[in-house]
Amino acid sequence: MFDPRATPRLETERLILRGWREDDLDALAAMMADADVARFLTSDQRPLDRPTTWRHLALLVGHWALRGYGLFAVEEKEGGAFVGRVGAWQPECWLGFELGWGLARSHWGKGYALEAARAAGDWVFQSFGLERIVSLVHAENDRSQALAKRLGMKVRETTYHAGMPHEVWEIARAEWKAR
Amino acid sequence: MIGPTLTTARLILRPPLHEDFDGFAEMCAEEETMRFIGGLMPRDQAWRLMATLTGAWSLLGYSMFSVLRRDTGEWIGRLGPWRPGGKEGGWPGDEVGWGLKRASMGQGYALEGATAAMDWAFDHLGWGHVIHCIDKANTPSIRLAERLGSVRERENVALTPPFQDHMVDIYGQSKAQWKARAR
Repeated sequence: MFDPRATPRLETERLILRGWREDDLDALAAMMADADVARFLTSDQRPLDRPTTWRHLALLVGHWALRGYGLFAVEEKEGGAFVGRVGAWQPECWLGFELGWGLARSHWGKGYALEAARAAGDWVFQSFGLERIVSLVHAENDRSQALAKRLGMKVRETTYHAGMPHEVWEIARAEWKAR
Repeated sequence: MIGPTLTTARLILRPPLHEDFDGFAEMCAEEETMRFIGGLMPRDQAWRLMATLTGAWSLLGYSMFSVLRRDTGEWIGRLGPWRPGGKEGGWPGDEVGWGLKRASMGQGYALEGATAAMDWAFDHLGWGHVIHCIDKANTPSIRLAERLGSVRERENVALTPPFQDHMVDIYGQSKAQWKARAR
């Protein structure tokens, strides 16, 4: 069994991607209580209350334990402020091995999601023998569509997820490496 | 691995592993079993619940154990200490809870496993009082709580979100009562 305390630590120019700690709850709860953030991250598009966010935090950690990979906690290198969660996501019945991202509202527009997703994608392709990764993006989520495009991903199909239209973006290993 | 492995006469209790998932998902698809513990869950939701229980081990140092039969190795349920959110989480107290697959009920497994989990909670988590959150209509669980020596302490208590609409009765007992109990 993978011990989530052994989650790898990735560094980018401005960010650290690391394993989750119990004291991430305050920042994660603040992020998930924000309607703009929750809109494209929760299955019913509604913000999470604190007790439900705690269960979500346990799910993020348990995903690492059961799968050996998961979404990283992302923080600023300078000062350590919590930025969001970025990384690999594949709960049971998911449409594929996903590269996912979600940042606190106050950290949008700084290029952080792109920076973290590139590092996480590099780690995913180095660590696992995957031929491709996907990203599931809500049809109205323009910002994430733009990010997927900047990562070199392409729309494979549109699908219904949680009763709402989504685009499935994907990129093959060779294309990721050639960027 | 995070957390201990406990052994009883017939059972092994240990933190969940991915290999437990088929059994876990089967239990989550049993209407009668799930009626009072969150309701029926499709496989994707069952996985998220098992991952949540697993992640709680890392966050809290305790959570529900997977219960396996020593003779066959079969996964038969999950039980143990449960307090989502920890001390600050608003849960009604330090709980030891249980849930077994239907085919494994009625053989004393829940009593045997819950007894080991109660011992562990009192001796290793330093808990001074243990509760069980039980739906008024869940007669088999009320009977088990009483066999463990717990008594009804509070009625119609709301759980924390996302189960805030689920009212339960609180059964419980102190460490002193547990220790004084005839074995």
